[in-house]
Amino acid sequence: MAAFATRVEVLRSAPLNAWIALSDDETTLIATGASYEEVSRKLDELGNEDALILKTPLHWGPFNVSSR
Amino acid sequence: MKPLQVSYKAFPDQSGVSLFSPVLSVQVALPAQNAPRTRKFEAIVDSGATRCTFHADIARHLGIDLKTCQTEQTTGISGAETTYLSELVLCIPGGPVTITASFKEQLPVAGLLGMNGFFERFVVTFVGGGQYFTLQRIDKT
Repeated sequence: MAAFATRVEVLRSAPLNAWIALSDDETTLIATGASYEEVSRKLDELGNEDALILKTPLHWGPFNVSSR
Repeated sequence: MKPLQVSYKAFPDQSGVSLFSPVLSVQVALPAQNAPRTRKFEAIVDSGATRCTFHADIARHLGIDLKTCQTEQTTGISGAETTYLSELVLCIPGGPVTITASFKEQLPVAGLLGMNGFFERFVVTFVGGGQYFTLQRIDKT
């Protein structure tokens, strides 16, 4: 896993309210898209099987997302 | 078996510091033989969530037609919302399990790992001072 500071900087540079893919070591932003499908398709095109996908929120801050 | 130790993941906040949350990389699939799994994605380990809940985009990727799913009204921090229920295979440490998951359009993250489907299968220990959590699988896999 990346040093947390590197991961945080990568996430801070990523688009908000989007789907993103990080390299397996979480040091590099390798794809972004408006949907999971779009990001997955871009990873297919890159031949990347190991990326880690995240959904970014509308803004960064404490999570308070319990659904029920 | 020795508990699995998982470090909290760091996220940015608006004031320039880092926030740490218990997060697990998971995959999901349709409950059918040889169904392809999604890619790895991050889900928050959330004891406040009744069900495992995933963003509706994940359902669309898997080919689940949300219009045909049973719905459920959930009561969340930010109010009531309709969620869509579907059987799903959740790939977690110790082996995959079939769960009833909910899908939600406005989820701000990719997924939540909640009480039904996730916590019921583990002893989960949050070690806030150590910035990690441990998972000890307790169900039969």
